[in-house]
Amino acid sequence: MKFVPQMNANSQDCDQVHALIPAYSIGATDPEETGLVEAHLKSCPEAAAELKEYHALTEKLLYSVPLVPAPARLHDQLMAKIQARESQQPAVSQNGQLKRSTFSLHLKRTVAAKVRQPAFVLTALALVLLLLSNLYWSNQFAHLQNNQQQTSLLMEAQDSILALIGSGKAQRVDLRQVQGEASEAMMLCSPKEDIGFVYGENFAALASGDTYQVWLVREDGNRVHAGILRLNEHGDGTLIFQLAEPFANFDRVEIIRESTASSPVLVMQGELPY
Amino acid sequence: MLRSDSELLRLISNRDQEGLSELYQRYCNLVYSLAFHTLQNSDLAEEVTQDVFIKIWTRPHQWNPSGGRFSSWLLTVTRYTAIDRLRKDLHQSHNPTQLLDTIPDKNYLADEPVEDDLRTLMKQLPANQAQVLQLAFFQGMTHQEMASALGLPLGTVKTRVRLGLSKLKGYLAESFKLKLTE
Repeated sequence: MKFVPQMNANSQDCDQVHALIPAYSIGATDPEETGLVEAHLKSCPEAAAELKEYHALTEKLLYSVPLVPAPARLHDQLMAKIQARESQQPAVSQNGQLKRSTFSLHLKRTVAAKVRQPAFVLTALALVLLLLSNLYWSNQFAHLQNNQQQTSLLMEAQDSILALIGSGKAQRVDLRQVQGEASEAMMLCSPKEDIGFVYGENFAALASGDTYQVWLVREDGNRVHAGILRLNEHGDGTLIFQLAEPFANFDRVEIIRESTASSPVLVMQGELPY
Repeated sequence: MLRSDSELLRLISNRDQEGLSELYQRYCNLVYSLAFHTLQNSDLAEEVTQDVFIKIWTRPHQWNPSGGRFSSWLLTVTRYTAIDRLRKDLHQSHNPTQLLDTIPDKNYLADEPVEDDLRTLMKQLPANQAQVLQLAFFQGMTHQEMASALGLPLGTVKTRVRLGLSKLKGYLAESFKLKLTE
């Protein structure tokens, strides 16, 4: 990605930013342009009103394509996939939590079928409770084991960062604001090493589903994903990461706000001094 | 009585497959049409259509009623899903100019679109402006990407996008005024 000098949105020619609003409304702006428009929108009601008009147009564009009937078989294929998904996950979801709604439905059917056989019902219930208990504790154990593994990996990475700092080889890279207000960030790294540490503070709160992603960028524009900068309630966060190659191979670090519903926005950027 | 989109989503959040089936029947053609228009491939369009409705099934709470019509949100999800699929296909084919091949034949017409007026108005745009709007909106390309793919200066692409959308907005406003006076 070509480097573009940062320009303060406040000092931008209003007309130049307004000219980007149509393209922004359809997601055609490059990341830096997106940042400029979003910064300008916060302080310019005219721009916000113009964007609203273009959004009305772009909404209509969604409906403007020629109508092509979906193949009739697609409905049955979809419902079969849904049925298969539901059948494969009878009582346990991906995070190990019990799916109460699915399990209780199963329990009700079992009880309803055997209601005329009290002894069987009691035995079946006792068995179900025993199974439930076993399942719960085995899930808890698996969850704890997973946590322990993740904690071990994190501690190893932290040790590596502390060793880097202690050796005096760590270099500080300050990131500068491209879009947004008052956030600060820095990265510790070393040209010959592959372990890095990013610290950020005062980042704006995110909408649901959005994340701050950290990327290392080579001179040719190719990018390597470092990880997600996870923030606390104050907008502060850290990331320890390990790359597959040394930092000397990279030109700069970027923090990008990524969303499922809109184009990514470059928030902060720092040049590596190698 | 016809159930509302909100009611169907409530059913889906309670894992009621009838709710998804009804929602699918209501919107499958719109979703498939947009996916096909982007991808120009029926197999990929089918995959994207299924992916979209599976997303609805797994995350029915993502639509915010205060943000506008459900159908518009659904088509926005379709648009991004189709664009992601197109980019994935492009990445695997290592052919950056393939996107240009997916621009639909402008004479292609199946059934009438829902937004007949807008489609008619788009035909009034200069071809070079319609082309960049197709690439930007339906294929998710940015200014820089279009400039690279088309071999044009960045400024030219930006101007075409801006003028194309500005004209469409103007045409639409004029069309609406004319209808009011009829």
